[in-house]
Amino acid sequence: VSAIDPHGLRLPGGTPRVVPFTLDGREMAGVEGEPIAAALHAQGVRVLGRSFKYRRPRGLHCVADACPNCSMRVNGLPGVATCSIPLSAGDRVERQKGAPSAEHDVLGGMDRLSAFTPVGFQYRRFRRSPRLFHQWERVLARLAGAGRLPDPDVARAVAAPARFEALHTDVAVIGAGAAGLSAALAAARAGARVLLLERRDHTGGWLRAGGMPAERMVLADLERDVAAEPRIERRTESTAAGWYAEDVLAVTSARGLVELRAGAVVLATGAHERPLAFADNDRPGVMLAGGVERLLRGHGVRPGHRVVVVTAEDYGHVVAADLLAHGVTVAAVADARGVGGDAAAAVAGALHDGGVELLADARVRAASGRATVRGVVLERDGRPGREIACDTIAVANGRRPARELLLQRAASGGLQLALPAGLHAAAADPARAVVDGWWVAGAAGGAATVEEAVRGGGAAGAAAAAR
Amino acid sequence: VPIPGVTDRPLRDRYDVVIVGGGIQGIALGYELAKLGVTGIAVLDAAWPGAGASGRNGEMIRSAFSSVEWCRLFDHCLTRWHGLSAELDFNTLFTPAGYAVLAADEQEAQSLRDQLPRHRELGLRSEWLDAAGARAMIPAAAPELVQGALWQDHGGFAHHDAVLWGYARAAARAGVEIHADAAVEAIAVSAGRVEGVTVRGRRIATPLVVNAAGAFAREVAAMAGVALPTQRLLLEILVTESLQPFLRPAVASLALMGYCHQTSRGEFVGGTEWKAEHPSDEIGVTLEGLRDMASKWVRLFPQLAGVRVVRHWSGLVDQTPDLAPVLGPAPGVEGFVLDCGWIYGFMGAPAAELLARSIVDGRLDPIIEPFAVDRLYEGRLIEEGALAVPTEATT
Repeated sequence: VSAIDPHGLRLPGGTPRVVPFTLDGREMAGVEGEPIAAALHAQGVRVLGRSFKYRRPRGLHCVADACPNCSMRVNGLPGVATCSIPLSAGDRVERQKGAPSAEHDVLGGMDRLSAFTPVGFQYRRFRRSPRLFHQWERVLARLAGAGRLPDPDVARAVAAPARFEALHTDVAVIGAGAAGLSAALAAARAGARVLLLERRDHTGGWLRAGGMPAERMVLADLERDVAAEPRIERRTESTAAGWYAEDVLAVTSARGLVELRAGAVVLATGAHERPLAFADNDRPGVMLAGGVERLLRGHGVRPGHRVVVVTAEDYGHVVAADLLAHGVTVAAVADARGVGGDAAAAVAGALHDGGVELLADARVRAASGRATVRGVVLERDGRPGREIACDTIAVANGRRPARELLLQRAASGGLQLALPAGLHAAAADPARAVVDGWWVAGAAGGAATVEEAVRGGGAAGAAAAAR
Repeated sequence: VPIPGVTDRPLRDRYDVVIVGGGIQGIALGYELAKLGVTGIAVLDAAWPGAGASGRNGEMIRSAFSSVEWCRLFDHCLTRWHGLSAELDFNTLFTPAGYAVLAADEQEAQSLRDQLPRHRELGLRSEWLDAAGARAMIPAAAPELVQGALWQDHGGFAHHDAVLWGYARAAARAGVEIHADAAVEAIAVSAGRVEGVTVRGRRIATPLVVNAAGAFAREVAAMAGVALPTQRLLLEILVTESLQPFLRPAVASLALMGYCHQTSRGEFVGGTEWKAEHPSDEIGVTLEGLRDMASKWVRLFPQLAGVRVVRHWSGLVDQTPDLAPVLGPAPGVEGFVLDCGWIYGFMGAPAAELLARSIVDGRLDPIIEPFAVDRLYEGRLIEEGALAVPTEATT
C-alpha cells in the first residue's frame, strides 16, 4: 500500500486491497472501495476537471456529493460524483474537460479574458446578427458543454432492465445519521414498519468521520439497536431524490427506481457546509473542513502537506487538531471571531504545541496560486495583507440545513419557494409536524448538538408512528 | 433578483390600458402598443414577469403547421424572430438551428408531406427530408424513429428568460409600467363597458383591459362576465446535465408526442405529453411525467441513458378546444380584449404586433381574425393536425 499511498495513513478494518485503474489512460493504483476522488487525491492529483464557462481548474471540495467539482467520466458514463463512488479494479476515469488535458488546458486562460465575457455578455453580443450569433454560440457550445454522451454500450447497459419497484411503508426516515437512526428506532418501537434510507454506503452521517469519542459511542449504540430491530429495513446507497405531486418519493439506487409511498416521513437529511466568499475560493486545494475530515478520518488520505484553516466556528480548531494528530502541518488557524468557544479552548494547547499560529479577527482576502492553492492572503484595512504559504485551505463556516426535499413537499402548488410556516415550531418541538405527515429532525431541523439530534429524532419518530 | 424593466413605482389611479398578466404575451403587447404611440400602459402580474408559462416552456420556434390559420400566424412570428434581438437591442439568444418534425412511420410521413403544397402556396419556407437526410441531420437519434422529417432550416429556439427580459427592457424604455406582485382581483364593468380593475383592494380606472393572464385567463375573463370554454392543463419538461453538443436543431416527434432541443450551454431540454388531459390548478411535478419523459427520450436518443437529470419543471396553460389562441375583443364587453388560450404563446410572442395594431386601428388584422373567440362559441374550430400534443383525434 505504501507504494500507492505516500501519506501512509491506515484505517482500522481489514487489509486494504490495492487495485489498478486508469486516469485519462494513465495507469494508477488505489485502495479498492475508497472513493475514486480520494484515490486520486492520495496520488497527488489535484485538478479533477475544468469549470463550465471560464475553464478554471476544479478540485476536490466537499467530499459529500453536494457540489459539482469532482464530476468526472467513469467507465464511459459522464457526470459521476467521484467523491462518493467507490473505486473498483480496472475503473476507467477521465477528466471531462480540457485540451489536451484538464491539468494543462490550452484554454485555461479563458478566465483571464473575462473582461470580454462578463456576466450577461451574451445578451449584448451579436444582437444585430442572429447568423453570426449562431456561429459564435456553436463555438461556445464546444467550449462550455461538459461531458460527452455515455458510450453506446454503457448506455445500453444502463437502459436495459426496467428496474422498478413500488413500495409502501408506515414511516420513511430519510437520512441515517444520529437523528435518523433515533427516529427510525422510536417509530419502530411504537409499532410502525420503518424504511430507513441513506444515500451513502454507511449509516452514521458525519459522525462516522468526525465528532467526539462520546458522540461516536452514542452512534454505535444506535446503530446496534437499529440493526436488531426487525421492523426497520435499512437501505444504504439509496437516495430519496425527489418528492412528487402523486405524494410519492422517488428513491434511486444502483438497483433502480423505487416509487415509495409512506404514511409519514421523517426528514433527517442533515446539513450542508457553507463555503466562504473570498477571491479565488474555487481553486483546487480550497476544501470544506468536513470534507477534509472525511478524507482524513474516513479514507485515510491527507488533504495536503501544509494546511491553513479558515474558520468562523470552533469546528475549524477541532479539524486543525485532527490534522496535526495525523501528521499534517497546520500553518495557521485564521478565525474570523475575536474569541473562540469551549471546543476551541480544549484544543488550544495541542495547536500551540503543534506550532500552529492562531489568528483572531482574521479576514481572508484571497487564495493565491493558479492551478492549485499556493497560499492564503489575509486582509488588512480593506487591502491585501500578509500571505501564508499552504497547499490546502480548509474552510469551516457553519452549516445550512439540508431541506431540499421539504421545500419540494411544502412549496408544491405555489409559485413562491418559501419555507413552510410550521418549520419554526417544528424546529423548537420536533414532535410537531412541519407540514401534514412530515417531521424534521437533527441538523435538518436546526439541531446543533448530537444529543439534541438524538432527542429530536426520537420525538419525531414516535410522533410519525402515531399518525 | 431584479427583473429588467419591472418598476418599483406605486400604481397610478388611472391608466389608458391595463394588461393583466406579465408573461411574454402581455409584455410584448405592452411594448407593441407603446411603439404605436399608446401611452399610459400598465402590465400587472400576480407574481413576477415570467413566473408562469413564459418561464416554463420548451422555447421552440417554427411556422410549418397544417392549417392556413396557424401557418400565417406563426410564419409572421418566425420572420420577426430573426430581427427581434436587433429590434429590442438585446440578444434573445434566438438560435436558428432549424426545426425538424420527425415522422416515425409512413402514415406520419404522409401527413407531414401533405402539408408541403400548402406551405408553398403561402410562401412559407419548409422542405421534406427523407429518412437518410433526417438521420444525417440528427445523427444521435434512433434510426427507427426517424423515417423522415418536415424541416425548417430557419426555425429553432430561443432562451425564454432572455426573450422576456428583452421585451421588458424595451417596453419599460418606451414608457410601459410593468408591476410585479399586482394581482387583479376584480374588473369593473358598467353598462357593457370596462371601467377599471381592482388591485390589492384598490380601484384603478381604465377604459381598456387586456386579458393576457395565461393559465389564469379563464378566471380573469369571468371577472368581466366573459365565459371562456378553456381548460387548465399541466405540462412538464426535464433538463439534463450539460453535455458536449450532440443535437443541433429543435426536434418534435409525433410518435413520442414530445419536443426537445439542446441549448448552447449543453443541456438537453425535452418535454412530452403523456396524457391527453392533465387538468391541474397547481404547479407540481409528477414522477409519472418524469418516467414518461425519461423513457421516451432514451428511446429517441439511446445514448442519453445514464445521463443525469438536473431539473424538471412544470407549467400551466389554459387550453382552448382547438388548441389555438383567442385573440381580439371579447363580445359584449366594450374595452375588454383577449390575448389568451395560448399553448404556443412563447413562439407566438411577436404576434403581439398584430393584436396591438388591431387595438389601435379598431379593426382586426386578417392574420389574427380567425382566432377571434366567437369560433369557440359557434363551434367553428380551427383544424390543426401538426401538433406534438395529444388532441381528441389522437387519444
